[in-house]
Amino acid sequence: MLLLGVYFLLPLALLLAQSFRPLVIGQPAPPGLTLANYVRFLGDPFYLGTLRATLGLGIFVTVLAMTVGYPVAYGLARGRHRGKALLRLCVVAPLLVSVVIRTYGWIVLLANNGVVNQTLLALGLIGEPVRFMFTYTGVTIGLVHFALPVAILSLVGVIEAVDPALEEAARSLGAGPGRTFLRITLPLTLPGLAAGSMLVFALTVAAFVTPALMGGPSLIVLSTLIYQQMTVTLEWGFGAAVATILLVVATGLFLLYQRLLSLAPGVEQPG
Amino acid sequence: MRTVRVLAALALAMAAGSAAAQPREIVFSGYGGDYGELMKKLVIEPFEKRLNAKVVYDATGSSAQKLAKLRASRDAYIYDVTVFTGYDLLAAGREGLMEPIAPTQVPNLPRLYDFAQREGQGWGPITSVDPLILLYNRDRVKPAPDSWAVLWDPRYKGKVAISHVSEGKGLYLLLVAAYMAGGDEKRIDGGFAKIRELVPNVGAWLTLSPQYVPYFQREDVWLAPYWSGRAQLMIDQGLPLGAVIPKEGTLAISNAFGVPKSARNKALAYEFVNFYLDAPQQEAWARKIYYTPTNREVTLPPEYAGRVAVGAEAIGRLRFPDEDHLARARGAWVERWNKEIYDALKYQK
Repeated sequence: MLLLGVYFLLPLALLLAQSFRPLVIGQPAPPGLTLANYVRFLGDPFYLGTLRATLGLGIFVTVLAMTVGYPVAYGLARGRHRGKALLRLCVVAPLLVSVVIRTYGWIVLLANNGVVNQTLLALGLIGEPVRFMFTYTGVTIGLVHFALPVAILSLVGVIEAVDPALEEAARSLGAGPGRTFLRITLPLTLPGLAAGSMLVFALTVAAFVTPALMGGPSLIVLSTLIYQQMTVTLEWGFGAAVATILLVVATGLFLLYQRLLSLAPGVEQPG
Repeated sequence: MRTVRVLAALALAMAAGSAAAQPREIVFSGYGGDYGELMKKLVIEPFEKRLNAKVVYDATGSSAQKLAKLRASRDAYIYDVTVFTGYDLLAAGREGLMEPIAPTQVPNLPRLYDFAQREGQGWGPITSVDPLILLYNRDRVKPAPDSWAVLWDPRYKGKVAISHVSEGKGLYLLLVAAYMAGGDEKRIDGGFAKIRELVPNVGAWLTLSPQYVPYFQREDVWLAPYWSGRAQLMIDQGLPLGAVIPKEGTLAISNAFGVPKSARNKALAYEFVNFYLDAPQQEAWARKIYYTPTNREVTLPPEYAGRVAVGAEAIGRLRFPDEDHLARARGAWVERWNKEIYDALKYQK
């Protein structure tokens, strides 16, 4: 309880308090509380647009990461081949490398004169470099890679927990592989899918490094705004207000998602 | 009675001991990377030897982050001396966080150029300056450019790298653009209009200086407004680059030293500032890191001509913005930059 208080609640409380503080650059902080920081964000279509962009990117990356991650997780859980240990290592390995390094790796690959473009040009598949850097596509690629290990690991456990006998029974009763997956495996793994996608969504909307290094000024996410306020303009009140808004909206989406899942038949609450 | 005397003697001995062990030690808050290594070798080690003192080097963060840390800790001690970008020193001074520095504490102050004594507004000396230059790929940009206008040349579409205004190079580019449009830091609108016109030519949206190196290595970009000192370091690495102060002139950013009110060992901190301003240290620094020294007694050998602006005449050609105004206006400019460039890009599509 104490740990929870010190590591989680206290910083949040300080952040919340900061978001109601006025600030004039170049002067000692004036006393009193204000709603101005929230009004500045919520009353400005530009900032509301960055909120939409952040959540949209979060949802898009989550759907992609879970879709790409599911077959890999299935292979890890069910596979009996010898490459399984190696595959598991490949999934976990990115977690051992700092996200800054991983992002620089993607830049080397995706830059205009990077490895991918040079290869495609040499093969004659493209006439001029494809722009990945500072585009939505580039940031999405970077973030899906960033989130994939978490997506896969959250699925492996639940897939392993599904008794293979159930799938075999479905098959022996005449269901094809697709039908078996849709009627048996998928519903039984939904809780894992739900929990995993929440984790991935949380990681993505809070991601800072990838959007900062790979995104351009056409994709401004809230973490970038918060960073600018906290470390450059030093308008801490506004930065704290943006952080609080992100937290409240993301939590709201979580609760909504959980509610929707609980309405779906045969699904237990994830947790 | 004897116990009391023994205890008293012991107490005395302890008091004397702690007085002798009173550490001649300061914490210096500098930058990381090459800067830190050179600072230790060229300044800190000779200082420690000469004054029999110890300097703890704290390499965390940018100037803005140092200001943030100082602001967050207020009266609590964090370091004794810090390096700052000029406008951050002024902001810290305004907020009552800095100790004033006068020639009585730092006797080398009168040896500095007038602007270097004046611009810190009493909160500390300007210790070096670094002009914004035009960095270009010598193989790709021909003839060699001599005007900022080359950044806007349609031939170099997608070949320019710039920094966000929240970072020094972006801020100074905005000022250069404002001057080109006939304005200045207080009439910034023309600058923003020119930055919007620059958008189609920008191929890399970067922030910190080291980020530029791979983009120039891969030739993803050929042109960038960049800091003079770091440009010379890139040229020393053997990249086919040129660096020029364009004919329209340029603005320079200033580096300052300051002593916070919360410093523990102010006397030694002042001595450290004074030592750094000595001509030998200033010259050694200029030779290695290519910053323009502000001590007017410093000269450099001829091979540095064109690489470091040294001497009254060269410094006289540099412009210095009103840094006080920068400290105040920057927050609004960050917001405006975010919005206007977002719009310009949307319009472009």
